Amino acid sequence: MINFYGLSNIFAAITNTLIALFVYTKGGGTRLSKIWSVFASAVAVYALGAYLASGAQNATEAFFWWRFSYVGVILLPVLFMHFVYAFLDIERSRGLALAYAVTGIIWVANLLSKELFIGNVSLLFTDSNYFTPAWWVYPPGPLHILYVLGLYIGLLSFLLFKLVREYTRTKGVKRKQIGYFFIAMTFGFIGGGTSYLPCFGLEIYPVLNITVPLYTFIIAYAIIRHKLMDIRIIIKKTIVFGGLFVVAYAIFTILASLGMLFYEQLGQNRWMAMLPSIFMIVLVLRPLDRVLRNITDRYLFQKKYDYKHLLRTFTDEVITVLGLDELLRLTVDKLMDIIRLENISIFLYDEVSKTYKVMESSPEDFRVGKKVLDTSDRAVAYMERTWNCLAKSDLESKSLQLSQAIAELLDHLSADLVIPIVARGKMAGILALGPKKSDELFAEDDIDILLPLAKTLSIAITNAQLFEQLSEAQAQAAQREKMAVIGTLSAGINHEICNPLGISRGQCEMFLLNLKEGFYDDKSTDELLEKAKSIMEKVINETDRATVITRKLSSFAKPAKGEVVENVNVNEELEQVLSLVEHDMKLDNIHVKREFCHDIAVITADAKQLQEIFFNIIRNAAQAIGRDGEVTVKTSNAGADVLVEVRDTGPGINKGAMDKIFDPFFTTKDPGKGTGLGLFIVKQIIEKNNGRIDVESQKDVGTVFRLVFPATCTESTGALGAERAA
Amino acid sequence: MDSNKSVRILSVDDETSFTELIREYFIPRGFEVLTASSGEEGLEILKHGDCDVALLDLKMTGLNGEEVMGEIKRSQRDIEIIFISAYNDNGKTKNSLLKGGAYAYVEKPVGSLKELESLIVKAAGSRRGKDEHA
Repeated sequence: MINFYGLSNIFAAITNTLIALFVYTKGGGTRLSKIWSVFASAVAVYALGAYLASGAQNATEAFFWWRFSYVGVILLPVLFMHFVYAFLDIERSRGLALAYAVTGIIWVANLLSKELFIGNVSLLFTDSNYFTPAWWVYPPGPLHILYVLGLYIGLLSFLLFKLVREYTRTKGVKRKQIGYFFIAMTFGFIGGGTSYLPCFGLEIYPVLNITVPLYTFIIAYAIIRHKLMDIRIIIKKTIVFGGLFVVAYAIFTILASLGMLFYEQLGQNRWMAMLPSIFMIVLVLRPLDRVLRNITDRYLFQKKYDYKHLLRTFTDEVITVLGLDELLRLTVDKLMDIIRLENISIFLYDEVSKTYKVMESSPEDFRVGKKVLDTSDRAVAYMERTWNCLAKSDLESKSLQLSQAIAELLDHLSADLVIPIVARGKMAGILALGPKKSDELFAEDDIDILLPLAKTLSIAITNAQLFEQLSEAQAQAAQREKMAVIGTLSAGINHEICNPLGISRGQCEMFLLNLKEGFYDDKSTDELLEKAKSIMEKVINETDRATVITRKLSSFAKPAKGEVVENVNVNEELEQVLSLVEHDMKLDNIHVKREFCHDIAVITADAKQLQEIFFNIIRNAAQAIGRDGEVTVKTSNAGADVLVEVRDTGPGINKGAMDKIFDPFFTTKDPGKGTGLGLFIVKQIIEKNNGRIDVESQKDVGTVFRLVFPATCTESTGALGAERAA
Repeated sequence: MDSNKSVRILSVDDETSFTELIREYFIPRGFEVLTASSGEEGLEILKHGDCDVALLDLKMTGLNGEEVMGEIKRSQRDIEIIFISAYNDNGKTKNSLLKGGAYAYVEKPVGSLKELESLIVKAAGSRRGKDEHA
C-alpha cells in the first residue's frame, strides 16, 4: 500500500538515481562529483529498498527489501566521510581506510548473515492509517548496533566536529560553504536517521525521511553548477526545489490517494492511480518554478538585485571618482557584486587605433575572448549606428545576418548583454555583462535600469578622461614652471659651478705654463712635487664644491615620477632649498634668517613636492625684496599641525592683487620673469599634501606666507617626543 | 718681460681662491698684483694706490662690480676695467657694461690664463696709448 513514508522513498529513489547519473556526467570528473555520484546511488538503493519494504505483504518480503535497502544505507557514512575529506582537501588517511574496512565487514555481514545485522521482521504501528501505516521493523543485530553507534553516530559526529573546527579556522567563502554544508548534512542525516528509531524500540514514525532527497539535491546542485561556490544561489535553488518538491508531493499524494479509492473499487492496479497525479505535476511544474523563483527573488534576494542599491551606489560612490582606472575598476566591481554576474568587461574607444580596447574586466581570472573590437565588426557597427544594446534574449528580433554577428560578438565577450556607452554624441565604449549567476537571461526590466546607468557612467567616464588630460596638462605646466625657476637660479648655479671650474682649470694651466716657460727650472724635484700636490688638492676641493651643487640641482629639476609619500622633516627640506637659493639671495644683499624648531614633528608628504613649494615661496620672497632685506624662515609645532612661515621685508602685496595671487597665470612680475603659475601650483601641491596656505601682507612692512601641514601621528614620534621631554 | 714690468693689476672677487690664482700666475710673470675680496675693499686700495687694470667680479655682496666701476669712472681715474663674472643673461649686462666704459667682459670660467694675460697687456697698452695721446 502506498503511504507517506513509501512516497518519500520513491521520490528519493528516482531523484537520487537521476542525480547520480547527472553528477557523474556533468560534474566535470572532479573527485567531489565522483564521490557524490556514488553517494547518491547508495541513497537511491536505500530509498528503493525502503519503499518496497514499506509496501511488503509479508515478513519474508519485508526482510528481503530491508536487507536490500541496507546495501545502500551501510555505505552512506563512509561515503560521506570520503566526501568531507575531499571537500576539506584532506589526503587519504588511515581513518578513512579503517572506516571503509569496518563498513566492508558490516556490508558483507548484512548480505550473508541473518542474525548479525537484521533479525526477525515484525509489524509495528498496526493501527494503520495513511500517514502512520503499519511498519515492518526488525530487531537490530550486533553489527547493526556497531553500525549505528560506530558509523552513523560516531563517525558522523566526528565529521561534524571536523567541519565545525574547519569552520572556526577558515574565513570567507569556504567558511560559508562549510556552514551551509553543515546545516544540510545535519538535516539529511537526522531526517534519514529517524527511519531507524522504530527498530530500536522508539515508536516514532519516520516523517523526517523526506529531507533525504532534498539534501542530496542541494549538494549535487552545488557541485555541478557552482563547484560549491555560491552559497546564496544554492539556498535559492534549494528553496525553489524544496517548494516544488513539497507541492508536487502534495499533489501526488492527494491525487494518488483519491485515485486509489477510485481504482480499488474498480479492482485495478494501484500504479494506475499515480498516472493522473504525474500528469498534474508535469503541467504545474514549470509555472510553479517561475512563481517560486519570483517569490525568492522578491523576498529573499530583493527582486533579482536591488535596483535602488545599484543606482545609489553609482550616484554616490562610482560616478564621483575622477581617476579613470579607479572609476572603471569600481564600476566593474559594483556591477559584478550587485547584479551578481559571472563576468563583466568594459571596452573604451581608442582614438589612435580607432578600435575599442578592453580596459577593465572581472573576475580576475576572466579573460575576455577578444581584447580589441574593430569598428568593422557588424555588431559593433550596428551599436555605433543605433546605440542599441545587444541582448542574448533578443536575438530573434534582428535580421539573420545581424543576429549571427551579434551572437558571435556575445560569444567572444562571454556576454549575455552588451550596452553601448554613449558620450558626446558618439559611442565611447562598450559595457559587456556576462551571464547572471542565477542563470536567468537579461529581461526588459534589467535593460530599463541598465541603459540609464550606462548613460550616467558615460558622463563619469568622459569626466574622468577630461580630468586626466587636465592633470597631464597641469603636470606639464608644473614642469615648465620648474624649468623657469631653474632659469632664474642660473646666477647662483653659475657662480657655484663656474668658479670651481675656472679655478681648477687655472691652477692646472698655470702649472703647465710655468713648466713650459721655465719658471720651475730652478726648482728641485721635491719642490715641484710639493707644488703639484698643492694644486691637486685645490682642484679636488673645487670640483667637490661643484659636484655638490650639480647633485642638488639635478635632484630638484627631475620631473616627479609619481608621488612618494613618506615621513618628512620640514627643516631638512627647507635647508635643501636654502642651500640652492641662499647664495643668490646673498648677492642681492638679502639675509636669510632661520628660526627652526628643533623638535619639529614629521609630516606625511612628498619630499620633492615640498621642496618645490618651499622653493617657490622663498624665491618669491627674495624677488619681492629685490635688494637689501631679510627673509625669515620659521618652523614650529602648532598643536597637531606643523607650521612653516616665510616672512619677507618686501613692499607687501596690494589689496587688488591679494585676491588673485593663487589664480593661475596671475603675475605682477615683468614679462618673461614669471609664468604666473608658481603660487597656483604651490597651492595645489599643498592641498594635495593635506596642507593649507594663507598669506598676510602689510604695505611697506612685508608679507608672510603661512603653510600648515597636519603632523604625522605615529607612535614613534610620540615615543621620541616623550624621550625628549624626559 | 720688461714691457710688463709696470703693469699693475687689481683683482676684486669674493672668491679668494680666484684672486689667489691671479696673484700666483701674474706675479712670477712680472706683474704687480693687488687683491680685494669686496668692492669696498677694492675702492679702499685705490684710494691709496693706483693700478692699470682692474679685474672686477660682477655679483658681490655689498658693492657689486658695476657700482665699483661707477665709482672709478666718477673719480676720473684712468683705469681699464675688465669684468670677470659667471653672470650670464644672454649678453644684456655685458653690453650695458661695455657701453658704460668697461674694456672687456670675460665670462667665468676663464678660458685660459694665457689669453687673460694678453688681454690685460692689451688693456694696459691701450691705456698707455691713451696716455701718450693725452
